[in-house]
Amino acid sequence: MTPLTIRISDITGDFAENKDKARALREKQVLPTLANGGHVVLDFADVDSTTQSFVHALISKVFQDRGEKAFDLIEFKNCNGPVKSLVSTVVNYSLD
Amino acid sequence: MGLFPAMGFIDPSVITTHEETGRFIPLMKVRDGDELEAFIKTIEPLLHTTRENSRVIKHVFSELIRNVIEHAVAGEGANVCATYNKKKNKISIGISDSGRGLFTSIAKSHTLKDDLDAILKALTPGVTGSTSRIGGNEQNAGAGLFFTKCIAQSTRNNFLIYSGTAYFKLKLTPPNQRIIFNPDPTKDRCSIKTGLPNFDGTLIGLDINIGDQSAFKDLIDRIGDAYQLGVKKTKEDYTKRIRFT
Repeated sequence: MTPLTIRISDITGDFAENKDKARALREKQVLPTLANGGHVVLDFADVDSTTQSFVHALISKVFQDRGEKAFDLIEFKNCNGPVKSLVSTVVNYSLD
Repeated sequence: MGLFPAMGFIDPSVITTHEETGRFIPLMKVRDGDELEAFIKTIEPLLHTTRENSRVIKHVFSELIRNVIEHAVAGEGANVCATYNKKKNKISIGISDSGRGLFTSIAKSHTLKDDLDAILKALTPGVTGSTSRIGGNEQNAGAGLFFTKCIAQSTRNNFLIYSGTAYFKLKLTPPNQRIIFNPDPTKDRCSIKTGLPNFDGTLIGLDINIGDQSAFKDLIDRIGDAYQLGVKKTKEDYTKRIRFT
């Protein structure tokens, strides 16, 4: 199955902070795709920065619900240093 | 600074308005997520700094204003302003609301003694009014105020939060003292006061040195570690297993 690729900057611009948009992505695209056995690629190309809250709203539920299996289901593409750092932070605290 | 227009009144005095760029962000209201997004876009040129330096400032504005939008139940939204002190290379940020206050917000999900207890809980990693679960739910981690306090602390600056009849003020960290991001705010070098005149909403003020943010990534790593330790009491690092491509 071809993974679903979501280009974040198309939705948020270069500063990804709008949690309402993160929630919409999570509920309408990420979770349904995973529920149907698919994979998701979150492409952060052209995103200069984001917030802990945005990343939390986007991915924490996946890691809380699926645990370490989530590593095989989500790919993070084109993240710069600060974005990588925030993704790592959220993943680390989301996994029990 | 736009006090009268922000409050919906005609300014009774005649003033000469200074050029905003690189000096200040005039007092304005932000009521919802769309206005917040627009506000962040507006302030970028006003900050008059590098993209690298503006990341942390935008992060702070976003987290604090979003707290108001999501938790304060403040019809008028967030009152926001900032000034830049060129000599000290420091930006001072003020955000307030006239909503329900931290006590009512946090008490939805946690047992509280008083306003001070609400402030301390709000600063504790993993505590949010959205759920009684430490670590939050799918929408809130209870991390925004902790991250913001740590950001002020990282540049040895002040951070103040006032709600109800109490306040917590982070004192300056002396240059010779190591910076520690405490999950327990009472262990910070701080000043705490109770029995103050009642303020129904919440007010936050902080300073950030904008020249010190070249290591924003490292800062987030350190704060993230402190948050994880505060919530989970362990510091497992899964970074190498995340599929970054």
